[in-house]
Amino acid sequence: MKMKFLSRPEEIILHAVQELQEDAYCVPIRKYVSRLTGKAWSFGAVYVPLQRLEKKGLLKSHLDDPLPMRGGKSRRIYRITSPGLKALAEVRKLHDSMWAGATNFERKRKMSS
Amino acid sequence: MKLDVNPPKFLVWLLLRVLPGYADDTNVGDFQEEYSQFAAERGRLLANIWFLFQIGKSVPAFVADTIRFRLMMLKNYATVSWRNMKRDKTYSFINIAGLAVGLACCLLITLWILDERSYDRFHENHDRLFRVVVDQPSSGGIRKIVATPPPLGPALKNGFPEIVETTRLSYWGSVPLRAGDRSFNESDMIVVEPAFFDLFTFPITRGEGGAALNEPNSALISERRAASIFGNEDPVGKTIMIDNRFDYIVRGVFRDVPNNTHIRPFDLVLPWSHLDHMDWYEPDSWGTYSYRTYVLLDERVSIQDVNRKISNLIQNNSGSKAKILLEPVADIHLHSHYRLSTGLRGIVYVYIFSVVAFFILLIACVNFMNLTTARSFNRAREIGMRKTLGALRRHVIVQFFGESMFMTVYALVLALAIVGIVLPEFNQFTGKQISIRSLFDGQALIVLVGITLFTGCVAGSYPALYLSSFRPIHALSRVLQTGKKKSGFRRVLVTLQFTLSIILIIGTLAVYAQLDYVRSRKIGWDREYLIGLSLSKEMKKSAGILKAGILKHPRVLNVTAAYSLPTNFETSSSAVNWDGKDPENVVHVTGNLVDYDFLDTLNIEMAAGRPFSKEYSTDATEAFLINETLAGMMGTGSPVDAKFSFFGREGWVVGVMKDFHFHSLRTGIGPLAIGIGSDDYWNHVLIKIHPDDISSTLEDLQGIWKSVFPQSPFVFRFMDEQYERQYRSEERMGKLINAFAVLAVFIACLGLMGLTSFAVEQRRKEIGIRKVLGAAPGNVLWILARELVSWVLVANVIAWPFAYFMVLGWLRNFAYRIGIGLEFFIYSSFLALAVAGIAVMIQSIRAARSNPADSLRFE
Repeated sequence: MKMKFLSRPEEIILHAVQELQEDAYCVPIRKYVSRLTGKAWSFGAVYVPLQRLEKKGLLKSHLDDPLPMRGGKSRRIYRITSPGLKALAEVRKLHDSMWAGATNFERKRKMSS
Repeated sequence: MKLDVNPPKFLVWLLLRVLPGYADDTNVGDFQEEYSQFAAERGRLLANIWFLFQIGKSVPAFVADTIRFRLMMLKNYATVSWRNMKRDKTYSFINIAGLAVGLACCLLITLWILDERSYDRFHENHDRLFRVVVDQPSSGGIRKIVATPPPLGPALKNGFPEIVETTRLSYWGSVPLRAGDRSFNESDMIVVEPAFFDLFTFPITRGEGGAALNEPNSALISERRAASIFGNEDPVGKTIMIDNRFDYIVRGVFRDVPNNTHIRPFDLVLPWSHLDHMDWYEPDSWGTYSYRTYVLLDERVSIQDVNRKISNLIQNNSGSKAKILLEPVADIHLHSHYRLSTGLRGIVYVYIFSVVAFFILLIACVNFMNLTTARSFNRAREIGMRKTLGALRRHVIVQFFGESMFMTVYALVLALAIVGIVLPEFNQFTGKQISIRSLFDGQALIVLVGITLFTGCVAGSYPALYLSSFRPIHALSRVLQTGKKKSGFRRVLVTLQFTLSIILIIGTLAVYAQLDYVRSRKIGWDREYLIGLSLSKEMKKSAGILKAGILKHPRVLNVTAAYSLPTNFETSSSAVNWDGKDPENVVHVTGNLVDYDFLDTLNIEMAAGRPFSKEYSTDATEAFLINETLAGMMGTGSPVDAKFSFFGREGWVVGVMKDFHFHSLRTGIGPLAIGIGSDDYWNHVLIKIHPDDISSTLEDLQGIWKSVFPQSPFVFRFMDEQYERQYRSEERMGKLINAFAVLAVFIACLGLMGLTSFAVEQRRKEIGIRKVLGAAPGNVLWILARELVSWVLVANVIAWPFAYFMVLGWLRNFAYRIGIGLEFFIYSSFLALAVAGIAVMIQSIRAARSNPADSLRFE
């Protein structure tokens, strides 16, 4: 199988864009991932994966109308592409198969607790 | 909920600056949106802090990025400039060598100026240390003197609470000194009061300091004299004999006196009580001006107040009209108008050399600018490429400034090496003790860095601005022309270089002519083959025997004796009177007491009356000879036989001597009266010898001297050398200016050579075609040189008026001076033209002789 692995931040952000649907631009994405992971993501930590994902073709973006509360600047709205969806599915498959046979981990966890 | 709250503009701007390259407007918008929400929920202040915090987060990455890319560019710049330097070695050499020589000159001059400015600033109390000077009204205006009467010091100390300490100083010059059975002749001695070592900082290294001087018979001695007399032994407690009469015990040793003090270096310090042994010392005389007085002021008082208070002190005590005032010791060397021997104020030379240094640096910078721009079209494509690849104009400007800074630093290293090599010579030449280390501390370091930055900026300015203006399309398509129009600025630069050089040449010629004039001027007495011997107090009694002995020698033409040497009549007085003198008119007359044959020996001519003669018994105590200047002051009619009193003598004038110079030529001839002195007054014996076989005559003289004074060493001086010594500082300065002028011309020529070779390179094809069409090498040479000749001519015309006024200003310092003739200007123009011509010839002669086939082959 020829597959490009996504990094963990890329994976999370790709997921966030998919979940947020129409509202997927930086501010809500940052809120979403921060809530999901329980720690504050910096702007940079969101921008860089977003741009990389777009470059890989897993996301595409467009600008909407400027808003006064943004100091007259537009939002860049991201949408997931079909390769993006495929990648996300693959990641999920990978996770599922990885954890399905994880017997040692479960035993160890029980022993240590 | 109000959502359209925007962060302060300043913060937004800051954010934009630090955001990494990929960020765009929408990113900033994200920040602003969150800011609005934050502000709405928790207030603007916290929102601002949050925003600032976000900016802070971007800073590390921003800095790292910036440095990385800058370094990459820097590396590229360095590589390119290194390759360019290697590609044309002659050009690089000329460029850097010219700059290095210029910088080296500049650094040397800086060192010299800093040393000049350091005079007397090493005394810890220098800011409240003052010398007492006297303004004495006399017929010829106000005489400014530094000698003060002996009671002045104590009167100042006791009468004025503002004055903390005083010391008097009596300078003795060289005295004979004996330790055990060995005698030494060259110990310069001063006699001072104990406070001397508190006022001036001459550190004591062994034994006691100034306090020892409270005791009579204690002496202090310099380290170097202690070493030469006592070797490695401890000198403290040893006995020395001074003047073959006085025993003193060495109580302390002080560190050798540095050069940068106005007090002439001394090796021996005696207590003031030494003067009590001298029968001529009158401690209470307010009329004897022979001692220097220094005072230390209280920190809190102002010098103006003190000056006002003490001004009339002499007047109140003696009735003379003299006024006294205080002069800062730290200003003496450069700024004082009060001097024992009148000379140029040091600051004049500091100005002259500052100008010279600046000129040389400017010439070197111009060179650099010229050569760099001349070669600009070799770099044009590089610049075009850079611009095409996104470099902005300011990037190119930075690049070329950086490059010239690089070159300057290379040149600086070379310059420091040159300075290091030349410095010992320079020191010997200027009589200074400068070490190269002094370039790296304090002020000098600032100057060093300043000069380097200045040179780098000035030299780089034109290339940077000019080269950065290239349009890439032109630069890359080779339509770029360094033709007539573009070289206009370079022409201006070359003209400027030669203007400066010519000014320096004219200045040098004028200085030399003036010095030559001084040396060869008829001074009214004959100084050739005239030998002076000095006698101490002790020896004077036997002066008659010495004279008689010397006179017997076949190659001695004449012998005489005098109170002071003809090169400098030291004594003067206003206690002078004659028949019909207006009592209101104070005349300061210089005096000398001489032997009968003084006029014959020195070959001084008479204008009226008769010389001294032994036939008249009254001549010994009552006859005076005066000079023409004084005769003129005395008024109408012949002054011969007029009643005259001077030196406390009553008598009359027996004759008038033609005016002759008895001081240096910097001052005019003042009124003079001489009388006959007995051997008590014979400080000097003057011997006129035959020009043949001088060395054996001197040997014989030494034999005679030893037979009369077996104890004392035979020290003689030639009066013509003595005379020229007065102009040594001018001569040194003349030579220095000369050296720097030569260097300036040299640098300018280097530049010219570089420029010519470049022009030849560019016009190769033209020359080839001309030759094919029948031009002779001479014609080609002329075509190449023609333009240059006109630049140099223009430079001449510009330089002349500047040089004229500068030289005129300098000559004003001399009472007897040359006129500024046209010949200076013509000589210097010829010189400049010739040197420039040679420089161009060397470069273009090959081009003129080349085979046109070679240059035209590749068309």
